[in-house]
Amino acid sequence: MALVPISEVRQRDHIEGNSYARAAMEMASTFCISKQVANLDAADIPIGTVLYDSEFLGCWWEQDGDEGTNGTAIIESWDDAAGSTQVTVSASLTVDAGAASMEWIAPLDTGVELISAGYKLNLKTTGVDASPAGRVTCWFKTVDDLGEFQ
Amino acid sequence: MALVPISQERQADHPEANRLAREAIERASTFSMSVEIGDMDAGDKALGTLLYDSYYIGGYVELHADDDGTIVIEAWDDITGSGSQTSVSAIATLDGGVDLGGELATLGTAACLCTAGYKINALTTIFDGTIAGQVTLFFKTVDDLGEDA
Repeated sequence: MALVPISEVRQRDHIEGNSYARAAMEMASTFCISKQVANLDAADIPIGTVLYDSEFLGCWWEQDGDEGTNGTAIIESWDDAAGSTQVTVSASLTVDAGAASMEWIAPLDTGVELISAGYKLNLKTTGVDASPAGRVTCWFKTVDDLGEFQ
Repeated sequence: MALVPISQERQADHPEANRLAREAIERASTFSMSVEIGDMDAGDKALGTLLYDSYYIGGYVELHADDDGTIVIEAWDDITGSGSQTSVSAIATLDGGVDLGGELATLGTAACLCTAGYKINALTTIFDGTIAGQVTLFFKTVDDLGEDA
């Protein structure tokens, strides 16, 4: 087997090191907003407001009991308190478990998941009418796409 | 003074810079889960669900009024903790008449490595005054970035 010149080994290590560091930094920028919701009935439910431009990574939904009428849940970003502009950033979750359950609300992957600093997050539920309590844990990251291998 | 060969200087700087970067990335990976609990009475209190494998660093609990009891943080494998309910914090014993706040210290063991998708639960005992409380937990997603290279 031919020996690999030292310089090549160091270059490869450098590239792998860079890749590892970028992945670590991106993961390190993750944060969550976990919100207890006393009543998940159909409504707009404010979740919080982001400090920096952030990418929505997805959300865990948990309902503590039967939803009553089947419904849906989505996450939106609003440009102000009243949501003068409302953008859906997640797929729509069908809420039909009929009992306590935990579900994943996936992010959309179209660019809308990139949320501007100062935007408000809103949980919009429809249909649900049995007043179950629950919670959502929404996940974001502030660092994205640190570039290609150097 | 003898000149230090460049290669020696770079070698000396390299591990130090690497170490600082690793520490910064690890610290930057900290996130918090801060949740208000409407009723601290003895029971299970769901706090949220993890996205990534995360290490429990520690946390704090605060009562909004006087009550006595204990609280411990657990990682559950599913919504009901059917497969595993693992304590990740020491038990905090609160005597609201003395102090409304307490620390939820990490156990510092492998039990604190929580798996992605696990639910975080606060298990309280004894509390019976139906008072509200606040729990702020800290985790990190990046751990052990290796030795100096």
